[in-house]
Amino acid sequence: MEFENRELIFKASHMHKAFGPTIALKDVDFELHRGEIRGLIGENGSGKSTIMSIAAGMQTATSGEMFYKGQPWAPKSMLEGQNGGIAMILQESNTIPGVTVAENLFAGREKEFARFGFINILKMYKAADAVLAKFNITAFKGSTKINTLSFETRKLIEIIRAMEKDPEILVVDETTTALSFDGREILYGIIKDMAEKGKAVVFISHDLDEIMDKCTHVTVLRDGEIIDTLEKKDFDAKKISTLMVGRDIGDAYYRDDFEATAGEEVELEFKDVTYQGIKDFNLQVHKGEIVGIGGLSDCGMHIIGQLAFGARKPTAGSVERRGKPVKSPSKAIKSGIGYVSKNRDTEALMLEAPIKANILLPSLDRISKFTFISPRTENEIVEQEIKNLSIKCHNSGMYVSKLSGGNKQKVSFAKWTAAKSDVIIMDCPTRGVDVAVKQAMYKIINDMKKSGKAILLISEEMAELIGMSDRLIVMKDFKISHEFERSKDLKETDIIEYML
Amino acid sequence: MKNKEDKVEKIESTPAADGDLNKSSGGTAVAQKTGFVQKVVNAFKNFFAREHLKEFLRNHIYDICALGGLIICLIIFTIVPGRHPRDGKLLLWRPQTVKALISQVSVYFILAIGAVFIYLMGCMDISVGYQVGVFAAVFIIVANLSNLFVALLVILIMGIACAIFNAYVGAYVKLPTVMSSVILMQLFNGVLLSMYGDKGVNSYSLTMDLQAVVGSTWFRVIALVTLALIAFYFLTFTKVGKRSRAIGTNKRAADLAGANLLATRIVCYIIFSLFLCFGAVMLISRSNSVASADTTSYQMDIMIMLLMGGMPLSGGMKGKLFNAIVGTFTYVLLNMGLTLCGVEVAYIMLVKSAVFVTIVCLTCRKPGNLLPR
Repeated sequence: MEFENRELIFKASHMHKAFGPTIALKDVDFELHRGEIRGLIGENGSGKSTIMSIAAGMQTATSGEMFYKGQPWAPKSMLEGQNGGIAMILQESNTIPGVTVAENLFAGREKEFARFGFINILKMYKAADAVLAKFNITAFKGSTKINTLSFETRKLIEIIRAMEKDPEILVVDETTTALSFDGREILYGIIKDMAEKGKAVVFISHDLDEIMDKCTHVTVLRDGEIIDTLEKKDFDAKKISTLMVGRDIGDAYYRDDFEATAGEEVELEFKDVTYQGIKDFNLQVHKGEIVGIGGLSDCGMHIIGQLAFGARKPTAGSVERRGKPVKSPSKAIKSGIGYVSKNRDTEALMLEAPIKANILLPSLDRISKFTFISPRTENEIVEQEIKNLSIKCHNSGMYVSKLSGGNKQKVSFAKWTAAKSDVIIMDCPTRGVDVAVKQAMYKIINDMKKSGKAILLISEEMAELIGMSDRLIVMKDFKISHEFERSKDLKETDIIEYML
Repeated sequence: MKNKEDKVEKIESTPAADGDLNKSSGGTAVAQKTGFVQKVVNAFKNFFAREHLKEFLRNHIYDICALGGLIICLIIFTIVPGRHPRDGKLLLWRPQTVKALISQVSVYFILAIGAVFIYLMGCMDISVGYQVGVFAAVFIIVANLSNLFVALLVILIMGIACAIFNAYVGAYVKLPTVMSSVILMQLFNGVLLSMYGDKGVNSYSLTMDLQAVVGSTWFRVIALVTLALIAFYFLTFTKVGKRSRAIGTNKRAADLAGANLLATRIVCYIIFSLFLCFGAVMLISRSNSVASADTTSYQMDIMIMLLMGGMPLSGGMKGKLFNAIVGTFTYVLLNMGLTLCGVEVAYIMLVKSAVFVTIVCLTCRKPGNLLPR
């Protein structure tokens, strides 16, 4: 079999990792061969990132040993891992703000450009431009300030930085969701190229379709254990998701009805809103309606979400809730609007705070009586939300930073169900969560719709938009390029046509 | 329209493969209706279960260290200074010493618990001493001209003005609030100079006897307890306390969850200023007068006290009233204890700075724990 003929490049045996009482990896054996694009898939907290972060030196294993190119391998830091040839691109943003692209690309390597203690910045820019040219990037240069670039582009710079060191193993951890369309293509190109050169790529993702499309092998993890490793010829979406979750998740994923339904009442209305590139934007969201907005990440749809919540103020026109303009987030909340931000860890949640404090924050006005907030009411609300949304935690005092990605996202949903918001704006609500959590989220969203809430669903995932929206609005260059009605026959290709 | 309550209940629990953690362990599951005694026993069992104890220790490590520091100070300064040669009582526990201790604690205590409100948001104020100095002098001048009530009213208005200034500068000019307090410090320093040095006055004295009215130790204790309870109420059971902690944890997320930055800051700074005013009155009640140099070191004292009490200077969820109380007592005890041991003032300063450096070194290793990021 081809699988066994290839040279072994990395091996971990009996690897065990515990975070306090939580066991992340249980006696895991993992092998990686040259020329492989290995997909790692599993639910949140299944240990897929943990294996590779240990291999890359970001953390150390509690016990077990690793071999890299036949030699024992125990990197103490990410730098050591990188210098040895294992580079990892992380889920979180990892560029240095406030400096140029070149300074980011060559961070830690300034000496190469230094003379008598002074850095020849022009030489550095030139070198950076050469590197960018190698990856066919022309949109920005080495001298560009990183702050002028979008989140998506910055992610691309991280990838190039990792590739600059010519790694033997590249680990891509949930990165594609943070990339733009073009960025994704560049990353796929890099991955393919590496595999052809006899190096190895480990691709960690929640996106089953992407994994099945790009990987040569896929390893499924569940609760810190490797369940199975499949070859490309055995790939089957249903089989893999069943392995992941440990049971058949059934067909119920998105909404099962294909009829667009909505109430009469207008819950949220954009009236000739103008803001930056957006000109005279008009939109109505009705009671019990899910309005989806799709497009490329910089088409302006995320700004629409922020405008709807009062987090940005339109330069002309207004966003109105029951005839009154939405002026600020706190006023929006009082009028019954909720907002699930795309940037979960920086905008939607307070990581260094208990679950309880996070869930209750938007509800404080509602539950405060003559300045007094009753602890009993608080506990009742929080316990109810934890139960309703099945948030996995020891107790409500647990810090959100200790939760897995999917549970964090559930907390940011719980904030608005606790606040009893009637209009909920969701910006990429299922970003970085696994199939089972996604399924749960879709059920929550559908239940919200049924209970009469108006939902503005902004997403970069076409399947999700098609599966959930009553009305689907496609945006391109800050304008509505098309509007689709919910239909059984709607295909991703129909939408992409209006996006690009 | 349907009843709002129904809506939440309609969201049934999801079929995802989780929730087992909820059932298997954890404090929430155990607290079933089994009667009060059983509840208490369960709570104890839960608390001493290994992972809960560990979690508790992890979350309260600074509080425990701070309390430990206070206890160590108490033990050392009970033993080391020894007994009084005449009456044979332990020096630290003689009624005179305790009285002096409470008198010293009283002003610091009020200022420190007021400061908690702004430190929770990650704000810092270095104009405290100058503000209190001016408030105290103004209070005396106005009280001598009219009466105590008018005097209190005047300084309260001044305090509120300072609060609004601080909050606005922070929110609108987007300056760190410590910068607005630098402006206030300069301003009040100038006012103090014009009130004292330029006029050749060393101190202001009240013509009426405030000391006789509010100067008794018992009155002080009652006043402190009352103020602490008020602060505790606001910090624990109201929007102000919860939102200020939220802002200290993540400003952006707090703003997007309805904790309006400006509004919360204004309220917190006003509370802080009110406490400064009470502190000024408490200061006057000690000797019926106030001198120019009485207050100028307060801002740094307060910062050190809060640090000693385990308050994270970056604000957030871990800060609480407890930190201010423990910190104040430790600091005053350290001051008095060293004096009782016969250490000279210059060396006391040295010891204090050594303690300060030690705390900073111990706590700022982990980013984001105690000091601002």
